[in-house]
Amino acid sequence: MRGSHVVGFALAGIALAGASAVARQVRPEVEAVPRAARSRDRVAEAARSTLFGTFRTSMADFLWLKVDRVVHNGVDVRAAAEASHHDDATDADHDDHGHGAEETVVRARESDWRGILGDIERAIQPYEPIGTHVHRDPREALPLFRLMTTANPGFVDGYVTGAYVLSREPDGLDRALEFLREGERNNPRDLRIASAIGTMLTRKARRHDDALPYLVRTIELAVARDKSTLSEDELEAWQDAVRALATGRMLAGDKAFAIRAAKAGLAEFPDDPTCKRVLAELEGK
Amino acid sequence: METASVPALRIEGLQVSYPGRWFAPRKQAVRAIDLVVGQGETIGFLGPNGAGKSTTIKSILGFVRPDAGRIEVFGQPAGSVAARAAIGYLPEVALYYPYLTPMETLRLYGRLQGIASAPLRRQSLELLERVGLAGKENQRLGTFSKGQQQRLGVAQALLGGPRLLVLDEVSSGIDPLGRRELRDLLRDVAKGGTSIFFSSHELDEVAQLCDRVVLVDRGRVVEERRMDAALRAGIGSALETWFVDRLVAERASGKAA
Amino acid sequence: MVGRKAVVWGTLAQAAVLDSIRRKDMAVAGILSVLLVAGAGLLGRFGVRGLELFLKDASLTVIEILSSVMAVLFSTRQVPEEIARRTALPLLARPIGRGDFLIGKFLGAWALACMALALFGGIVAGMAWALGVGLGQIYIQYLLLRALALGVLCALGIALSCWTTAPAATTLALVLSVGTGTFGRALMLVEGSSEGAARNIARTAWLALPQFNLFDLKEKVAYGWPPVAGWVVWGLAAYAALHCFVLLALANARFQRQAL
Repeated sequence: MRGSHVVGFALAGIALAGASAVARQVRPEVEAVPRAARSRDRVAEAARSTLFGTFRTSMADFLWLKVDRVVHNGVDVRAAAEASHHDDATDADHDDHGHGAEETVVRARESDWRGILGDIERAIQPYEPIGTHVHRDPREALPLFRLMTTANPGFVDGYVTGAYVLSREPDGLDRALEFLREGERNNPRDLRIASAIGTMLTRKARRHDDALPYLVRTIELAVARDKSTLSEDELEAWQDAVRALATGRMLAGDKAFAIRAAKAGLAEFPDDPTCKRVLAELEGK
Repeated sequence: METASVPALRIEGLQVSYPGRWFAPRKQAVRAIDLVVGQGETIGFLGPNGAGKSTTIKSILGFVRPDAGRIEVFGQPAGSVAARAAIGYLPEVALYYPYLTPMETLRLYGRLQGIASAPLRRQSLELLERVGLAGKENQRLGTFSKGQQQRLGVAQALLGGPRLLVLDEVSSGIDPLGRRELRDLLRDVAKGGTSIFFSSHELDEVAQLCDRVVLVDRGRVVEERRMDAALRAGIGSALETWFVDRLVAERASGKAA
Repeated sequence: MVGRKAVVWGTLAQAAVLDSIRRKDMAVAGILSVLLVAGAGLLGRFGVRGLELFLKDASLTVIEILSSVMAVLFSTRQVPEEIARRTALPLLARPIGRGDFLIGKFLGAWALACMALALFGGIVAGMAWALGVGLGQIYIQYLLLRALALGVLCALGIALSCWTTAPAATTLALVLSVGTGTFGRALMLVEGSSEGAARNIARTAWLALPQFNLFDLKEKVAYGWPPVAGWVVWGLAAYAALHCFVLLALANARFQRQAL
């Protein structure tokens, strides 16, 4: 190795140090990001952290991220970084049509310093301003749900979301339930799948008696755990199951069970409007 | 304008060194070489291993940059496109593309030389016959022996009728019969007016072909000598004796430091 | 003069292509692409709807990866292999400049990469036709822009191989071809959240690096978008030419001084 090589390595080291100093200016924390974006960001982080983990887990996470692109017709969307506001930024950069604080990965023209290169990127990559872009039918992502759960049978999000999308197909409800049952066989102790089966039977199939064991099982699985260890999705699944149980039993004519379920639900979720409504209807009569 | 008095090759004060590892000092390969090859002359460039012969030849072709000194080929700076247009070169160790045939190889070099297609094809066939590769024009080079590759090397060096042939270890890998054929070929080429500058360890060959020999050791010219009748009469042994005696004397005197 | 240069470059490029074809590099690439694309087709049969989108996405990803790998392998071995095998000596003994040698090698590597791309593109088009999946006119644009990107990648490979060893050049070129998209987006994030000198550094870095994702029409092809305007293609051709020029100039600066 010559002296010129040593100088080269030294320059490379200085460049790396400079780059990391600049990168530290980006603030990673994001506030008030909607659930979809948080979930996506958490999975994106998980995908990165499993880079050296098993291929199957990484494959499932990768496909999960792909679903988002399918729904947005290829437009890449991410959670808006609070610090990415320029003086010259406009609302074209950020959501104003129900996406929460999200932005397109490709920068909008009004805040792009790259001139023609920016125009080229907006022409090459799928791009529409966040507020005006169209959504594709989520059913077009069905092969991805099948793939991700085949690659990783422990990927519960894939079963739950895939089943809901599948249920929108004509005659898709039975296939959706079958898909969820496969997920339950692979993940018997996951309350989200039990909740999904129960709520789907209650709300879409109106099969309240068939839904009962699944909703009860969801609640049993939830109370058996320390509430502080439950994720946001698990808490939501529990709350959904409680609501479905209360309303389902009410519609099935089992008032006593419905009242007990609603009261137990309010004990865990004091502000739940569905449980309050059920109690008001049943105890008010 | 070039006249007959412009030497085919002029080397003045050549010094070449190679970089050492890390911060080690540079390794001197050529310390001081001066020599002239006249038009139409055949010069043998002799020396023990590591004397600087190949480095000198590479400097003529512009493959290495000298630290000091000047080299001209028919008055043109060595390494320039004009200089290389006049040179036919055979490297000491060269491989050719194993997936090409001799005709394709000569076509490649000939087109780079600027030779038009029809004359190039004619020349290629003639040269292949002259070097003893007739009938193997379309055989892949990967199947050739070292000697056959060396013959192809001579053919590509002669492509385009160069005015100066620079040959590094021309007979390397060639059997005795082949060496005789090559000597006859080089004699014919020299008779046509081509200047030849070649290094070789085959002293028989040097004795029979050269007008002069230049002996180098440790990057310097030790002695130049015309091939007089005495040396030719003794053929290899007389030349070998001179070669060895001269080197021993040089090293003993400590001049080649 | 121009004619002579064209003959020299074309001759060197032709030799590189012939050498590679006879080594059966293309055959290996073709077999690999058939296997991967067929695999993508088999996986798609589990879907209900959306098979088309998934197939296109998977197939184009195969094209992207394989063509990049082939371009890097073709380009990074051109100069080091010539020097190591000593086949460079009889070549450079000819009345050609070292710069012409590099350009000829670059054109040969690019031609090989484009041939590989055409092979992969044809296999994907054939599979899509057999499965009744429409690729659209934008697919032709995709292949054209991909060819331009491969040109930049070949120039990068040649440049890196002149400054470092062939294996190191291969690794660096592959990392850059894959990483500039991600790194470019990161630079845009940094640029957006910084001020003053840091912002200028981020912008300079973004401009200096060849942004391969600018040539990537894969997403639009997969999601069935219409073809892009002609000015976009011309703009990218100019961008590619500029980067190739800079990279080959860097290669030449090193190669001119290199002892053989």
